[in-house]
Amino acid sequence: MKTAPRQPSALRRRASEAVAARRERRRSRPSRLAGAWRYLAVIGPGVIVANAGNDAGGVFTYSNTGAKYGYHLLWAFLPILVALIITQEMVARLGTVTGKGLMDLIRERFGVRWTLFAAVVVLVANGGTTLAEFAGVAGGLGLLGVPLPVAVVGAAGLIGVVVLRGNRRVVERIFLALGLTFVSYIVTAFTVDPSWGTIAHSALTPDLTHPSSVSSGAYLIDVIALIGTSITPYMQLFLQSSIVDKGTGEKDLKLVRSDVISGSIFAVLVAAFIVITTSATLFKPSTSFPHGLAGVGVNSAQEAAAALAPLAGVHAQQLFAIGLVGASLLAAAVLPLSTAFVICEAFGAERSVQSNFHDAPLFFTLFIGLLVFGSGILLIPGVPIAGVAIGTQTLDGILLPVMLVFIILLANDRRLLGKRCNGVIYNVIAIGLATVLTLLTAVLVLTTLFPRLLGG
Amino acid sequence: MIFLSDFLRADVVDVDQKTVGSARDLIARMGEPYPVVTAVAIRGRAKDLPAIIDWGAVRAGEGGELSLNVPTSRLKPYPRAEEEIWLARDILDKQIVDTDGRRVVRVNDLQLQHQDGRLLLVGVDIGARGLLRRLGMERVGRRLTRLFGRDFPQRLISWDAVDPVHSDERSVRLRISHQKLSKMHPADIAEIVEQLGGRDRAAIFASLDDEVAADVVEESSEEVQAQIIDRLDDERAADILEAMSPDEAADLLGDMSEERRDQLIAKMEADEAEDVEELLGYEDDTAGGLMTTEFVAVPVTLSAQQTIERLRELEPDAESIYYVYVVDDETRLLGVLSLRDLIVAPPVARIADIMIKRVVTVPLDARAEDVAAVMAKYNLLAVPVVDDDNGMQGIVTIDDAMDEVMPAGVRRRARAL
Repeated sequence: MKTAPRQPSALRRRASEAVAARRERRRSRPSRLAGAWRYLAVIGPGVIVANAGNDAGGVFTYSNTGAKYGYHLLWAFLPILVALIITQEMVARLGTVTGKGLMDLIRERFGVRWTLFAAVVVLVANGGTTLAEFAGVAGGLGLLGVPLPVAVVGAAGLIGVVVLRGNRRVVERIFLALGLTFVSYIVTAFTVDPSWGTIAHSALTPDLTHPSSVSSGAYLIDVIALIGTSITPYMQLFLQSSIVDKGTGEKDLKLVRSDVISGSIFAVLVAAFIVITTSATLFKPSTSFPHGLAGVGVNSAQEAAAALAPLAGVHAQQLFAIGLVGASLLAAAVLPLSTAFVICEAFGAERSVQSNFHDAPLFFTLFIGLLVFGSGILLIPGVPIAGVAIGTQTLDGILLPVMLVFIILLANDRRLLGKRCNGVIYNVIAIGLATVLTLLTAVLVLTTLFPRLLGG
Repeated sequence: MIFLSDFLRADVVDVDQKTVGSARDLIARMGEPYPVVTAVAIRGRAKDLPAIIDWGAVRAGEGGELSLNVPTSRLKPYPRAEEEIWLARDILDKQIVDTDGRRVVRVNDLQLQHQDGRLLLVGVDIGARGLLRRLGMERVGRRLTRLFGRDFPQRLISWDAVDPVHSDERSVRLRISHQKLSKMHPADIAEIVEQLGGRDRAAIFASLDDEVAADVVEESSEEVQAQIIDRLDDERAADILEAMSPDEAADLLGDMSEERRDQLIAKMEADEAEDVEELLGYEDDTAGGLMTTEFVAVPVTLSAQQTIERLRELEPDAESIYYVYVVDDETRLLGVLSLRDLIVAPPVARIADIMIKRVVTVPLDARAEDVAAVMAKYNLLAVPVVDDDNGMQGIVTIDDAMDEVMPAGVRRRARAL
């Protein structure tokens, strides 16, 4: 038998070059794919947290803003976006670089007292907010024809099963998918056919005047509520814990940042679209705006949704309701998780969605306990949900400035972050934001506690 | 006991008893087995005071207050060292993970101890009591627990048992996995316990429940047993002693000072205390000292069926169920039944008819070797001990008899198998 010739012919050489080139291409393709995969693997917490911020309370506040002030307050969303991105970015950076949760760092850096204070406030405030989320689920599903007990028990059961039985990746996918229901708000906004020119103008020109029918005190409170519902302590706590739980490392910091930024942009867009929807439909100023009268406002998110039907068709109402259910369901899952993370971090107990009950008993007890509490209370007739909501808002208002100070101090700690510390310009912006937010929430808390303070 | 939080709360005064600041942190150098405090960092200090003062220049009081024993002007600057740890900054509040990397608890406080004029870091407080102490509410907690008739327990882990992970500053690692420990066989835990320092033992015992703890104590050597009980507070020691078999408990108490023994017995339940006190009256290496008072004795008037029912009721320890002793009204030994005899007999048979009447017994003062020899000769798992009147006093089980006659080395090797 003859062996093959040792000298390759020209043809053969060309063929082998072609093969090599193809192999090279194939090798390079997976690397690009792997990049995409890595992005997909890292994104999640930022987007989920930002969406969870648009919870039942958020949908209500945005609906109310639109119904009461029309497009007038749209300008507030740009500064809100900046504030959201700045705080979330610091928190995400802390989690990625240190591998510890926010409460871990607070305990290690600021000691037992502050930790206990924060833990207690978070437990109470999140408990109350969880209740409000279940009310949102029930309200949204109620508009779609589901009776309250079925809606509440079903939602609690679903969340429990998904978080306890699903692994972390599945849970995250489901959370992300829930975020997609927010698209329904954007669609609703288009179905009501708003005037886009006015919207663009209102969004970009800050206007601090307020309608004559609303006292300046009440106006200020509405503005603060708008900001307060967009940036809450539990969001920061959950973001950092879930980044840590995910095990994202410093090398993925860029991706984490884009996760946070894209999540914030999406969330603020959704919020703006809710305002647009309700202002195009429910806001009916009798005279031209700045010195005219304000709209009536709504008393709950489901009321806003219900009001849409006669004005924009039953589909608008259903879309709005679906959005409300998705929002509340997501937050009803995130809040108990966030609380469980925080309490476990404070006292050093095992905490991870990936572990089992045996390894992390406190974590799962807290999670299940809050689910049962949130859904169970709602089944009792005559519970003053509105009162609870005001109480939790006040608590969050008290905690937020403290958290912001902690976050900024931690983000400046060289022992923790090394070269990943805040820069000077970054600090100027962050401290400025924290100061403004602190002042605003202080006003909100004070007016809640002393209603006659601003004459409203 | 003195804790880091005591120091952090208290003032620092100069030679004239004037407050010049308070302790911000204690600085220690890694030492074997315990880190030694070398300096104190001062907060809110008077102008002429250095930021860090050498430990040699201060005297620590009972409650953690520090007083300078050199005039402020003569204080020398403290030389910084590479291998120093700042207790509050580097260890306090840090996460403790177990050997499997699971998060367990946080460092709630640090236990310090004066020894030969030095202050050593000896333990890590992981309990709620430490947490309350940090908040200045330890008293409130103690008062509350006292309402429920309990002492507020300290949960301490010896410094030997933790591993400060310096480089990543992330956590303090526990060398022994407590969860694993509770699943181990008591004999194996005993093996570990024997190799540990006294404080580690205390920490381990803190994590075991009374039954397991009792088994571990039983499996430990005599010296270690005494050391273990010495380290425990009376309440807990008494609980463990109750859970032990009376003969073991009596042996252990016999090795203690009379004062401590009386204290512990006073804390034990009346029944258990009585058994133990009775056993304490006998010499260690005699049948009386070896025997346990946990045995099954039934009146001679019963039928086989009734006896079996009585056994079920009594639920006696596994070690003594193989023989059922038959006694008369005055607990004089009349005969013995093996479990096998009972089961194969017709239910209605009177045990007086089926029992073995010629029982092998040993007197209370029989020497240990003789007891072992008797048991070996007659192939007994247990032998009854009787007084002069043939009254049943107790039984010596085979394991206790063997322990007494086999050299310690052989026993240990057998355990390793």
